[in-house]
This record gives sequence, C-alpha cells and structure tokens, in this order.
Amino acid sequence: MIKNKKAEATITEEMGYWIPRLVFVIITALSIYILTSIFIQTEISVLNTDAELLSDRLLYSSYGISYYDPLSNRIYPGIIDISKLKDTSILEKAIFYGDKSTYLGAKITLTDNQGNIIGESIYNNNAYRRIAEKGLKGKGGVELKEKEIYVLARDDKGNLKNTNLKISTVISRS
Amino acid sequence: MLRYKLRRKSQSEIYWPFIEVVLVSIILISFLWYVNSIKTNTLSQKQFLSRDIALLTNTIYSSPGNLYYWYEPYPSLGIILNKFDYSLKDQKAIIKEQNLETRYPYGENTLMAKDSSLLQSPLKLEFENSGNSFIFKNNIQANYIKLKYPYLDTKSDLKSKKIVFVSGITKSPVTGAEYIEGESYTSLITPILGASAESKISLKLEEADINTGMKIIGQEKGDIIVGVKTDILEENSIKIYISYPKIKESRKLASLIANELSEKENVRKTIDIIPLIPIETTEANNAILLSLGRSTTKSLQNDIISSIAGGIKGYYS
Repeated sequence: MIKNKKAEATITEEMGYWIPRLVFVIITALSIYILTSIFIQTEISVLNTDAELLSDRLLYSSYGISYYDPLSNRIYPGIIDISKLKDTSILEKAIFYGDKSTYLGAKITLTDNQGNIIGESIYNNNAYRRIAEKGLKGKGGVELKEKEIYVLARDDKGNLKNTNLKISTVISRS
Repeated sequence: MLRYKLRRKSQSEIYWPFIEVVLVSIILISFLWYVNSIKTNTLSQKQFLSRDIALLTNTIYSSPGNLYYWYEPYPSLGIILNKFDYSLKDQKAIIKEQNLETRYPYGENTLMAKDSSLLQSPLKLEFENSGNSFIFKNNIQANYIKLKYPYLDTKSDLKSKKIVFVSGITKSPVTGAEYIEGESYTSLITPILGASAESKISLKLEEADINTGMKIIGQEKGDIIVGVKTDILEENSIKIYISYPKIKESRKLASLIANELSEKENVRKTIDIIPLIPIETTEANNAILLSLGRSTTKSLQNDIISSIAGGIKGYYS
C-alpha cells in the first residue's frame, strides 16, 4: 500500500512536470497550423472585377446602352442611347447568366445636372431584388458596387444632353 | 524501497520523453502530410482558372470589334493548363479534373452564335469574337475579316417576304449588242430563295452613277431590294452600297452577304460596305446595291449568287 502510494505520488509528480510540456508542444503546433492556414488563400474573390466588367460591357459592347451610329458602324461609349437604356430586353439576352440567375444584376440610372431622372432601368431584377430580400451583409448577402460617370444622353431626335450615369451593380457573395 | 523508487523514476524518465518524441513525430508527419496535400491539391488552381476564364469570356464578349485571343497563365503562377479539361456550358466556365468540376458563371451573349467545344488537356485556350459569332475551341483559324453589324430582330418567314432583284441593261462597246448586266445573278438567285423573289430590269441602272443607282432601286417596292451593277474595272472587285432610310437593316443585310462572301475561296477578303448620303425616296426599303467588276469570273459569280442568297436567308433566320 505504502509502495503504491509512493509510486502514485512519483507518477503524479512526473505528470505535473510533463503535461505542461505536452500542452506547450500542442499549442506551438496549433499556432503554426493556424498561421500557415491564414496565409493559404484558396478562395479567390473576383466580385469587384466582375462588377467593373459589367459596366464595361454596358458601355463598350454594341449590345449595350451606348449609342450606335449605323453610318460608321461604331458605338460611342460616351453617348448613352436613352431608348436602349429604357428597354433592357436586348441587354437581358446579351448578358445572360442563366434563367432566374441571382448572381449579378444592376440598376442603371441617368440623371441630368439637376438630379432629375432621365432614364432608369434594372438589369436582371432576380439578382437586384436581393438587396431588399437578403440585404448587403453576411455571406448570403450581396456586394453593391457603384460607379458614376459623366456622359452625353441622346434621345430619339438626336438631341444630346449632359448627364450623369450611375451603375449600381449587385453581386451575390454566395 | 530505494531500488523501487529509482526503477520507477528511471522508467518514467524514459517513458515521458518517449511520449513526447512520439507526439512531436505525429505532429511533424501531420504537417508534412498537410503541406504535401496543399502542394498536390488542385482545388485552388481550378478555382483560379474557372474565375479567370469566366472573366476573360466576359471581356471577349464585350469587345466592340473583332478579337482573337489565346490564353496561357503566367508561368510564375505555377499553373499547368493541360492538367484539366475546359468547357463553356450553361453560362459557366467549367474546369474538369477526372469527374470533379469547378464552375464559375459568366454572362453569355445569346444574340451571338456560339461555337464551343470541350477542350481536353489543351496547351492553350483560344477565343474569338468575330462578326456575330463567339468561338471557343482548339485550333481556331483566326478570322478578322468578318464584319460586325447592329443587332436587329429580323427573324421572319422568308416565304412571306418580297425580295426584288434589279439589274440594268448595257451596250457592248465592241459589238453594240445590248445585254442585261446582272441578269445571270438575279435569275439564278430567284429560284434559290423561292417564289417570293422576283427579278426586274432597270434600263437606267447601268449608266447611272452609284447615288442615282441607289435612288433607282430605292423606288422599287419590296421587303428587300438588291441591285446588281457591273461598273468596276478591277477584276473580282465587290462593293456593297447601303443608304437611308433603313440603313441599320441594310447594313445588317450587307454584312451578312459580305461575311458569306469572305468565306469563299475566290474572295477571302473584306468586302467594302459603303454608306451613301441619305437618298430621297418615297419607299422605306431595305435596299442594297452591289457593284461588281466587269470581268467577274464564272466561279466568282457563283460565289456571289450563293452569298447573296445565304445573306438573305441569314437575315430572316
């Protein structure tokens, strides 16, 4: 009995000495693992680039909202065709992310110098309405990227007007 | 008792460091396995490629002009392209490794014709946005000469349309004999297109200059008016004139004909489409005037005939 008690005391004494050392080894190993994991990037976010590309497609593509001159067969990225802006049916087909896709949408607003709205349309409302449904925060939310540029607006009669074009792009995070 | 204590103590002195050595070895092996898994795991490479290719596809689609592009990641990125298979399907850039797919969405232009295929272990990816088509496949023969034209919804039943071909009469300077220029074109195109097409002869068309010629054909009534005039001295030359009031429609039709022509072996060049000043006409016609070389070869004539027919069919399809 006495022998066993002394032996138990020795083991306890030894454990008291080694357990902190083992804990320290584990903590060190975990720290290295966590630090390594932080620097390993597996998720690549391209949301900003995607939003920028949508604006470029709206402005530079002949299927976008810029004015097309049939005489020279060129589009004018600095001149917005109001009729093309108001009717997004062509746009929905020209930038098509799939039926009922909620990945990307945009609100395009054209205002004059006084802030009065000249033309406004929503491209892919399935995605754009997610602002109201899911909000901007959280993983299930959306990113909102806004871009404003000064452009000329052209009406059906060919009249040009100084305006401000605002493209509010909504991209799903998930 | 002392012997026992020493024995227990020496036992534990060996026992605990042994545990520590085993534990450190397990951690070390786990780390090596972890690092190796990172090195061999291709998920991040596939994620990078799917995003990069989706963004690139968006960029290629947004080009207002013709574009050919081949894609190879920078060598410094350490991505080996031919480890995977690639496709653009259902508005997703898909990277495939065995049966595992990584996808990322891109915005497809459904108004453009798309020709894409599954690229298996390619050394490079090729893209082309030319004319009205988007191409993603191996060994693209880059074609910069296809013309772009405005988007117009002209889909309709060709049989319900009236197509009028107008050709002129000219007098041979040698024999003095009169013959109908362009008659061979119009008479051969009419049966290809069907009963809705008709051929007309204009006495003044050959002698008239281009602007007057355009006015002459603009007087005709029909959904599409095609005038044929042989007034260019240069052999195998082709020019297509378009004008108001339906210049968008005329440009689309002229571009479709020019694109058909550019694929023919006898041509293989860009056809000039020349817009004219607005013509005064009571008819709001989609009228184009083809100006051809006087000594056009028979094989080129056949190419022109099939191209005009193909262009008109494409316009309504």
